[in-house]
Amino acid sequence: MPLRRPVPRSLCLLVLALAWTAQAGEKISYNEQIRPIFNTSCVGCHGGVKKNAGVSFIYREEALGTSANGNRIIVPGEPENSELIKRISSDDPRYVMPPAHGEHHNEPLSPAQIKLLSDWIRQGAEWQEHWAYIKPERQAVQPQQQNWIRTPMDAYVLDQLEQKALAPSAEAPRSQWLRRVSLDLTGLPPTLEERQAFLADESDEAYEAVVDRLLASPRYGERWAAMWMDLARYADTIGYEKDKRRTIWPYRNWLINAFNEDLPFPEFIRDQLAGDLVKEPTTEQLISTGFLRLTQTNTEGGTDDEEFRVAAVLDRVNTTWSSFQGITFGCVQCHSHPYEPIPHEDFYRFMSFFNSTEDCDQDNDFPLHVVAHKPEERQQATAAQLDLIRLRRLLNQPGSLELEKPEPWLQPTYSALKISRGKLKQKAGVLYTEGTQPVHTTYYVTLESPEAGTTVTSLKVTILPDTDNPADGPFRGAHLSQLTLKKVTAAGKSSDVPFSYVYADSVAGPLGQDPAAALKPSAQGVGGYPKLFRQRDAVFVLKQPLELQPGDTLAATLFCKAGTTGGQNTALRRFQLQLGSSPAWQQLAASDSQAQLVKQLRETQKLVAGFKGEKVPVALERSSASVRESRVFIGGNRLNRGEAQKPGVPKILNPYGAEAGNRLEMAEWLAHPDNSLTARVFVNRVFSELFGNGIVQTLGDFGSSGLPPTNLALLDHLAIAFREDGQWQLKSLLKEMVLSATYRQDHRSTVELTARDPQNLLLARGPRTRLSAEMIRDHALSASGLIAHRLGGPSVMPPQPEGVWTTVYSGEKWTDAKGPDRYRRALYTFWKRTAPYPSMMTFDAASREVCNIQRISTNTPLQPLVTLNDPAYLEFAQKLAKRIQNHPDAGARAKIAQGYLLTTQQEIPTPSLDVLEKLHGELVEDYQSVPYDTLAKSAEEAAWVNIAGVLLNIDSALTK
Amino acid sequence: MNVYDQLRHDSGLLNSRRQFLKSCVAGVGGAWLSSLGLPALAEDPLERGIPHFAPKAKRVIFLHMAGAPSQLELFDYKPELNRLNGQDCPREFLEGQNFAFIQGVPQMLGSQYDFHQAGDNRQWISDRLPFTERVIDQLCIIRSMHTDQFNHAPAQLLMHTGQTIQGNPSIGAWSTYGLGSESQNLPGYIVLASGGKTPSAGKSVWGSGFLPSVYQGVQCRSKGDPVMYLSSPDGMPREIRRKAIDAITEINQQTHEDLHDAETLARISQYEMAFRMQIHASAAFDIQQEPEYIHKLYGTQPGKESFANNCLLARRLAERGTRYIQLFDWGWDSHGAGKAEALNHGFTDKCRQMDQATFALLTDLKQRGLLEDTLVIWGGEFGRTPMRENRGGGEMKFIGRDHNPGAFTMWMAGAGIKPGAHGETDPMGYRAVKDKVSVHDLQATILNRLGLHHKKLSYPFQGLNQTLTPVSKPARVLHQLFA
Repeated sequence: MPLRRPVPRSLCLLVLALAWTAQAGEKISYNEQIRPIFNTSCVGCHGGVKKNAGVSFIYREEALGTSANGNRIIVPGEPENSELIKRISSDDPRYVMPPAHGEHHNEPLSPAQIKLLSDWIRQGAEWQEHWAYIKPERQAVQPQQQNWIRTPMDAYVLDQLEQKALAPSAEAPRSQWLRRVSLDLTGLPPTLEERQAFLADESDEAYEAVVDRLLASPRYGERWAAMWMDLARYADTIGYEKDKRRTIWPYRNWLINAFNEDLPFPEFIRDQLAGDLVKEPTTEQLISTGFLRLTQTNTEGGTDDEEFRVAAVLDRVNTTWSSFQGITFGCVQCHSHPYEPIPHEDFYRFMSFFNSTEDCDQDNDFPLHVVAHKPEERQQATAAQLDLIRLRRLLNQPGSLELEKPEPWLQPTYSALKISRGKLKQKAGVLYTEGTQPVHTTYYVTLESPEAGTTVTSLKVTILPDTDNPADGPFRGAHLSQLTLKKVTAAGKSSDVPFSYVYADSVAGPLGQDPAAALKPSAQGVGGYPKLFRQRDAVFVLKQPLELQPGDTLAATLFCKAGTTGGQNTALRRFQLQLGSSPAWQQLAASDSQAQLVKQLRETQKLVAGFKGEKVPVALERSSASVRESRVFIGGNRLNRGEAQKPGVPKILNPYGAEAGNRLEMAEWLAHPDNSLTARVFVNRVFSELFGNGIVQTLGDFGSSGLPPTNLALLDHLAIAFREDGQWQLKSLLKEMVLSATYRQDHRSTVELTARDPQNLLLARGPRTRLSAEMIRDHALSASGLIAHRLGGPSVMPPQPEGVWTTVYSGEKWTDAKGPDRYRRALYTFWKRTAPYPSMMTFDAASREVCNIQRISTNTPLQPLVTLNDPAYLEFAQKLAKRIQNHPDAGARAKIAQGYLLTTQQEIPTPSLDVLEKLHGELVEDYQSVPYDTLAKSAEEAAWVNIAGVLLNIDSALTK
Repeated sequence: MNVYDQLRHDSGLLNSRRQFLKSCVAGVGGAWLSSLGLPALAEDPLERGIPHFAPKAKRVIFLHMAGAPSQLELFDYKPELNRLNGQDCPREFLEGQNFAFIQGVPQMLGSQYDFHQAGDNRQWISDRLPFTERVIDQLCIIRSMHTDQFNHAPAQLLMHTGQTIQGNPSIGAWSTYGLGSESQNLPGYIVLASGGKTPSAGKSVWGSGFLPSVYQGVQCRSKGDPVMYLSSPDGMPREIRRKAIDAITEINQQTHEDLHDAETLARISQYEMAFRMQIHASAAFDIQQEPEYIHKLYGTQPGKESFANNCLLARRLAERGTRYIQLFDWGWDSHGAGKAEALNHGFTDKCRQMDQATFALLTDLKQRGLLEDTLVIWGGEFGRTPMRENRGGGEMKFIGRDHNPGAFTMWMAGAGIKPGAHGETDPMGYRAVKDKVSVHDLQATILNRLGLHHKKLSYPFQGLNQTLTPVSKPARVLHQLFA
């Protein structure tokens, strides 16, 4: 909704404050002072969506133009001649802008704002590109307290602190930093041994040694994979109504390895967006395209596969923009961006990159790639499966080329039309149906020979779209599963006419990979399935040329056996049968190269069939002959199609050579050093993981409607450090951050500092944030000693309450894991989109139906119920109690101190120790009369279980 | 400050200042303000988290018959359709239409049950609803509902979130965001499901979408703990739990004195709230406390998962100040593909289970004086076709109807809604033709009863001030339904 509500006084105050900073003569900043006024008061009606009276303030050339009434809106240097100034300063309620009355009314601009706009026009009305679209540049800063600086980023933090007259806090105690860095880098607290070793090593190199150890730990990849899984909307189910299981955990394995191996970011982008398009992709590069396939699939009965294929494609566009570019591209689906200079067509140009993958919302998640169980077989299995696709296309290629030639196909007369259900009719050489055709429909057509003596070599089936306007499509599927032909003589004698092969115009789709399958009884064949995008042709080649005698007719039987989800038929509705007499078809089908390819295909099929493995959904591009046309969806509605679009990247960002033409080039464009967003968006996300807030707090909105960076110099330094100094590798970026003096500050605040900077945006103290949903579990598992580490593998089912999984139609059950899988890290928990693991949801995990760009950390009463009452957490408390009781020191105080150390890695403050000692004494007493047998073996142990529960629930255990 | 205000405050802290300011512009989320010490802003009543205008309803009870009950067997009397029973469907009904399962040319199907007129307004009602008939003079029956979705999950999402894709806040979330909760001890937005299954679209239909997660519906269960993890483990009775929480609080206070982290204070109050919830929520959900005549009225059996039990719980929650009470009853998808979903079998059972409990809820609310400020809504996510379903193109063993987005019936009661009828469908009951009501109209009307304006209740997300009813599809408040 455009901003039309009254502007609150504080916003006016803000603007006033901005006005004060622009003293007369001082250069006015478009980005800081002018754009906010336009965005708040004008672009709701005069922006990217609405251009009332032909006026828009998004592009300078538009704002400098004339309105529909012929007035010049902004005349640089001449505020008095600018319609804008006349309007905003008018006293006439019928003339003033923003309007004083009516639906679009808005608060009038203040005198200060009017002056600011006038001065800015007088200064030349210079537009500025929004900061995020300008390439980052390193700024030189010279803060005073140079000896505080440990890593380069500190200079930028310190410079800002000094400007705000704030001093950094003291260095954190070593144990505080150790807990923080261990949780930040690996998602796990340090063990007591690790803590001991670090405290004992008093050298300053000890810090770096700890960081190197953590970065080298396999646990590191698990922690950062968990972060990326929100963006990739990782889940073990397909979503929507049925939300069935999907095998895609190999993608998670890939992700963990990518982080552990410190895959440079451009490769990280490329493999996920276009791993299938690199030359000879590896198994891993196909698995990584799971990033695209993690969209939802709708298998509810009666749904339109195309509707949800398109939904998945749109999701891929939005996810790519949100996760890699931090721009809310979703707006552009329906109209030009209301705030950003991104026109409507750009969305569909970009969508075109994703619009021609093979997947199409199939129940079986086609296409699937077999990832061999045996690691040594994997690359071979992948190569063989890709060969299969290549061979099929090669086999069909001569036929598809022959089809393009202008061969004079003979149009026979149709007679004796019959159909198993409904009616089959003809008009001008085209056969068409009426009535109901169920999934299994058979058509009988007799072809009267055009003239006796004709030699027939081939039969062409042309499947026609329902209308001739391509913008009406795609149409309901029209797919031919099998065709047989008989010759009937004048005497009524009938004989089979065998075919040798079938060529199609292209090879694509879940039922159209092998045109020759139309000679066999399966549902596979030729045509458009699940949708018909355009006319489809297939040529059935006769084994032997057939010379027709006078009176001979040909009887064709066509079988349509395919249906989509919910039993919707994809029978032929408009089609043509024609006869060919060119000998070329027999030559093609009988050629040596054909025989050679068929042999290779058979061998490869056999080879592929021999590999046992997981069947994983991957992205695969359709052949160039079967690219889907992309059109603008007018108003974002896929049924209202506008102009056709070629793939391309938005103009606002860095150009890509001539033009990025496919997903691979698009991925390269994202990682190009000229892209002003990619590095910034990623380092900002990493920064927020460590410091609690992003430098741009709106992690997914770097546009002009997002928040401006709190410290642009710092952001740009980190972006450049990541891209250039660190060669796009995350580990070096993290090292700079966690070894910085900024990060090493004590997180202790003061009343004054908390009041001055409640969110710690200026970083005058160390970060202190609540553990993430995953860390809450992993931390408690670690404290109790139960944690079972195993890198990667299928998802597991730790205990959850009964009745969480009650989704319709799902026969699947949650079975609590026994053995080590019960105690695996949180990221391995089986993730069902419609019923995600409840205790993690309570701590703000995302259900991951779509890309989750930012978790909002909440603090609710449902959280204590989890960590106090969830049977899983009770089990952790019981185990922790045992650990505490087993502490060699017999005294309660020593045991309590040990427990505190296990859940916080800090020495217990004496007052807290007193509280717990008292509690322990009382509970031992209480359990003399309160039954404890479900909890523990003795009153003493029951008391310890309660103490352990308290220790897992205190603030210091839930934060880092 | 009650705990939900506290929660908003906490979420507010974590939201950007800009978003926060925009929320003020949008007129809600005002409770964040006072806590952030911005008194100048709190002068505008719109910004205090109080309604936009005087509300008629303090709370909403939405009885969603998931799967979409047939309007043609319950409220929409169509003699013309009965006359055409068994004949081929006229072509004009089929052109350009999408069906989930119907193929080609199906046959028309007359109502399977007898209709008669009842109540002061002589409203048509079928013989499947003898109990509802007794309160028919309290209902405003809307026969002209229509939607644009013909599959369950997107249609349910549209009904509850105003959008067809997941990830948007539900009306209940918008309501608690706009008005907060009136309960100190219970969540403000509670969801109860019966029929053995949750709705097709899963938990997204009561999600908070892009609103802070504190506004999402809390699904309570009629079996086991009503709120997940509500009971303390065995062996930790209340007095022992009290001591443990006291110890946590004391230690957290010490931490706060040392570190001055505001979140620590919030955490202290959440542990207190959790303890209170453990006591009061358990009591709220204990329907055994109800007298025998109430159980008779509703047809409830304590300990069973049923729509009747959920109706009784809805009344108990309404009494305790829960803002939005959402019931889902699964099992109304009468395709006729099996006995349980046949109009001539399972449907009758569903009617029996629903009819008495619904009547009881209205009667009970009324006798307690709660109906005047409670808005009760009944209905499904779309309607059903006047054609008989012919799945796979043939005749099926049982009788059923396919999904029909063109027309369905819902009713509203209480909260200043004028009893009577609204809207009409065509002679086949296939499309709404007179006084059509879209799902967004219904939503705008619900918000209106709560004193909220559907265009003003907004939240900034992805560069736009998002609202429940999208800008692209204008919604109207149905003022003509108001007394």
